[in-house]
Amino acid sequence: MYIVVSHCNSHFWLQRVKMLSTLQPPRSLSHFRTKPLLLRRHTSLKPLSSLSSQPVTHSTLTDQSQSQILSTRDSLLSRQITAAELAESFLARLRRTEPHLRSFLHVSDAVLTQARDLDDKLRRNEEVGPLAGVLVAVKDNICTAEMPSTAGSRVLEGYTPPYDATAVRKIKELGGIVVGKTNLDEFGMGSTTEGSAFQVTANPWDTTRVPGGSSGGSAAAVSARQSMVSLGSDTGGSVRQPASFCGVVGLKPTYGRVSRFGLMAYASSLDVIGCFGTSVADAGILLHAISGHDRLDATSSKREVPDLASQFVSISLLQSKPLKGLKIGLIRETLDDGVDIGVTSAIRTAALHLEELGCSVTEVSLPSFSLGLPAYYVIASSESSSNLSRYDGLRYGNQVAADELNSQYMDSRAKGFGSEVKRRILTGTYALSAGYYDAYYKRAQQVRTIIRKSFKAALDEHDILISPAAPSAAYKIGEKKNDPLAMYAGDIMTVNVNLAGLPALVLPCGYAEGGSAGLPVGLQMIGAAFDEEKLLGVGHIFEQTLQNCRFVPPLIADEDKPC
Amino acid sequence: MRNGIEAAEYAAEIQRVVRYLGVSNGNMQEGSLRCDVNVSVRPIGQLQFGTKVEIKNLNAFSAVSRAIDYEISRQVLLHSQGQDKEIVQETRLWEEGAQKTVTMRKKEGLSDYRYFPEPDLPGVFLTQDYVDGIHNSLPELPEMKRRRYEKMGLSMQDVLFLANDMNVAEFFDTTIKKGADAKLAANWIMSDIAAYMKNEELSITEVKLSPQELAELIASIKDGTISGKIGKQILFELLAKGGTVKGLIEEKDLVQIVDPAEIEKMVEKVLSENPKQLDQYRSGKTKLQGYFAGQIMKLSKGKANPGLLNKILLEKLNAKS
Repeated sequence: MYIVVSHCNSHFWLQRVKMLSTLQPPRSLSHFRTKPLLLRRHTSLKPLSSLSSQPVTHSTLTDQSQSQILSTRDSLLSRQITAAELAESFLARLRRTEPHLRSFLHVSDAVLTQARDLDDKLRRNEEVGPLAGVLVAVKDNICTAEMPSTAGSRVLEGYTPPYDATAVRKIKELGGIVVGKTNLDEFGMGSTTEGSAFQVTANPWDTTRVPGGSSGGSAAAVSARQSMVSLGSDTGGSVRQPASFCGVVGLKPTYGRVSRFGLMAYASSLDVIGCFGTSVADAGILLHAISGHDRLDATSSKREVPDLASQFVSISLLQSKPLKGLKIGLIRETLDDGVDIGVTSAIRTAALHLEELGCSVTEVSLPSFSLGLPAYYVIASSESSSNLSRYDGLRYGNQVAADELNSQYMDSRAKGFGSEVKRRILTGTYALSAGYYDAYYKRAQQVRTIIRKSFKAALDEHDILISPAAPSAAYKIGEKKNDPLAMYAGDIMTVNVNLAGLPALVLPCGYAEGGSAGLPVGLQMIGAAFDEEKLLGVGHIFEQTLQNCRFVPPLIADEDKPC
Repeated sequence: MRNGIEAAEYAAEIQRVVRYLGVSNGNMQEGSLRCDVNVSVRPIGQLQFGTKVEIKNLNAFSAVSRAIDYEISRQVLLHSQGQDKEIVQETRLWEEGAQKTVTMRKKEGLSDYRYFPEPDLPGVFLTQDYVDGIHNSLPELPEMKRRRYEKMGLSMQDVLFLANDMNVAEFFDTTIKKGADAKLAANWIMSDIAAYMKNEELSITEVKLSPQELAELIASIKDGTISGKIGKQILFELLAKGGTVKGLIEEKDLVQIVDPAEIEKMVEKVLSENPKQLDQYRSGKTKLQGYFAGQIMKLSKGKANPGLLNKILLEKLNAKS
């Protein structure tokens, strides 16, 4: 089966699109606890034999068009591979690449044990969850009970929480294996991981460049296939921007879709837990696994979680213009002068691709767009100045002993917090103080309302809005470290989405100049509140029909892989 | 509100209500109920409110009342001396010993709490069903109780006493539900029972007398089974040890003697045993009637109906001449 995709400069490429090994969406993904996935092979649809002579390999490095989660399940259940073999191959790659990347702050020593336990269960023909054998990396500001969780900060160095975050608990209940904790900018404050108290993570596409942040470790880990998928957090773009920089899929759910219980709070009205994957399908399946109301998070939504996994229809079932009728708005203010030419060009190409799929893409103006950045920094700093007061050296974390209580607070925080964190706490304290509250915090909240309304109006007229995820591709380590405002400016594409609480998906759509193989550029798709279904459906089709769809960084590109 | 007593009464009513609702014990000494007040004065005719002063450290309703009255007079005095500018927005402490308000130690700067709306706590939306449910489950609140007692014809003093404590009110309500007369029940509760509770430092839920037995007691006196005096004795026993009225009457053989013939016998016996006093009475010492009455009552072990006793006694005394 062919999909004919026309390139913007009129080349016609015959694309053999790799079939997803499951055509019907697994029916019981919404009944995770009780039934195993029912997978059915659609045997009449095979890859064209003239273009493919490669059997399904046991390689753990799958290309982007396949869902690692689904193919893992398929391989395990059909006994083509064991969980231990799979885990071992990922761990080997992790060990090989870690000295170059430093994605992880902690690697679990229980991975093989858990994998073997799973293999035992499979041998006994016992039921296993839909994430069985899936290796998940978890950002270090998300609590894991048997692993240290530092939030990238000295104040929590050596701290092991007594409980799992709800998202982590759900992953484990469904059979997922947490492979380790990933590096981040301290407490989520930053865009490069240079704010981590411990190490800087490198971008797998060019190890002299940043992976993005604050979930840089989680993005790099997935990009370099050190784990299959990962969890991150997104307060102002911390999942989406690193996804763009590292050439992976990043999914930010609607605020309230995923419980924040166990996510160390930065800004409570903005924080969400998000997902990274090498495909839209994987990000969506992971999101489905962790979504849902949690009584331990009063802000988590009671809205039913739709079957997010059912969006991933095989391309072969699609008509020639599968997205016909879909109205897409390209946010005009995101393609202005401040954006790199490589990014603008990739986004415009993506827009054409969407049109080829049948969408109508029109430019839409959101005049309040640029107000989002200052509003975000006022609100986020203010909320963080309250949230981080709990790190006082008394309750948990590291203490600098002193003779007097106030000195203890001051010394513990002075020693424990990095400079970016201190900067934001000071900013937030100032913005909330008597005499300034109205001018800063209150104004920022009013701006937030305007932004929310303008997005809503735009999404009433369009199904999805699109923009870049960042104004440039990954920049050099050290380039913006000493210029916080320049770093903040990079968040312009992402913060408005957090202010409005909307869902957004970033997926790689092209390349910009740089590095040995180019630097990936991500397309951001923004949906209406709780409309992750639509985002995933469109994202999946976009991804599956994209030529040169493989975003594998050169660091691991030499490995054996199917095509 | 305009003065200390109003405010104190209001606070006391809040305390009553929260105790009735069972949502707090309302104890000011324990901090379950706290009271800070704000006081300002303005000259009659001025529309704009004067500068308000906050007063803290009020640990009893009486302190609330006195502190407010003190502060009012302090501010009025300053006004009368043309020094009203000295009234500044501040927090003052009530000093119980000195019975006055004083300025708190001045702090370095404004207390800056840096409040902002808490994002971890979303708005709470109460459905009408929920509100209605609460409404329908409310107990009879103090105000309603007071009105109901008033309608029964009880005096204001009775009403306030009974409605003040939910347990006392319930005791009272149960007693009258058994048929006892409201006024009588109120009297028993407010006098003898209250005195016992105070002496023994017990609450009404701790005394061994049950409202059912109080009703029984009142009924027994009313129908003449026992005399009022015997009733008081029984009450004490019931309060201390419990038991039933009927049981005690039987056990101690307390049934009132109302048979005139029986009383007449006792009267004649006493008179015949006290000839000297009889002569004295006949010669004019009519006060001795009390003496005879006492002797007859003693003979009857307190069971003679007093009214009947005195009637027959008087007949006998005046008969022989």
